[in-house]
Amino acid sequence: MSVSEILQSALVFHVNAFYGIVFFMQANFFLFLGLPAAAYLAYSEIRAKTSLEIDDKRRLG
Amino acid sequence: MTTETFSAENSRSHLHYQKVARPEDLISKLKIIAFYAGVVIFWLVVASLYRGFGRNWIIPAVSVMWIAGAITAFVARNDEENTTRETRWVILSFLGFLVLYRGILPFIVPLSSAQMAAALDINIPAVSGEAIAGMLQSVLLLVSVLTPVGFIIWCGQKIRQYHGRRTRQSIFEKTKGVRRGQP
Repeated sequence: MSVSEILQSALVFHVNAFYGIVFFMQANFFLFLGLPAAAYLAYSEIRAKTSLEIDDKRRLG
Repeated sequence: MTTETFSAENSRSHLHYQKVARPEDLISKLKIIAFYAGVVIFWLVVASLYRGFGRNWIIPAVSVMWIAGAITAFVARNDEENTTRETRWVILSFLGFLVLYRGILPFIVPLSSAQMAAALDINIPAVSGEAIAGMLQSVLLLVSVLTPVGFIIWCGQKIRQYHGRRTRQSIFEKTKGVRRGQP
């Protein structure tokens, strides 16, 4: 098997993988839109909750 | 338990600030993350239960609800916690209804008018059996369409209210500036 054949077969595999990823993204487009929004909401709720908590202890030294 | 101590050397009263990270805080954060992860998994499970309808409608509809909630929480910062909490409860209720409906549907649909009439000992016209099947379909369509639409309207109204409040506040600030001679 020559080097060019190896490269060619590797290219075919990569092109297939690329198409596979693109089709997967296309099929689950709305899922990929919703997941970051859900993650942001979780982050937002944690931030809002921790901002209300008073965890600073102040003392006079 | 982690303890960080900050001392302000230049302050007059020598105040020491001690920030304590308690295990309860970490647990409450983990609970929130687990709840959201659970809702996302539940979303995927419900969508798979409805097959084509789930893939073509439930996933985009719930996705739009997540996005609307996130935009509202980002824009209307004064009510961030309530917005996030209400978003996840609305989505969870919507998915809960869909899963219940999917579970109950196979028991209701095969019931004929004659069986119902015999069970309840009342007279039910044969046509009403067909009407019930159509009604069940309409209920599913109405709930699955109107819930996301209603939620988006609620988010829009919340953003509008927040901007209204901000405009009023800016007018007050401007008026105060005019009074102080700083227009």
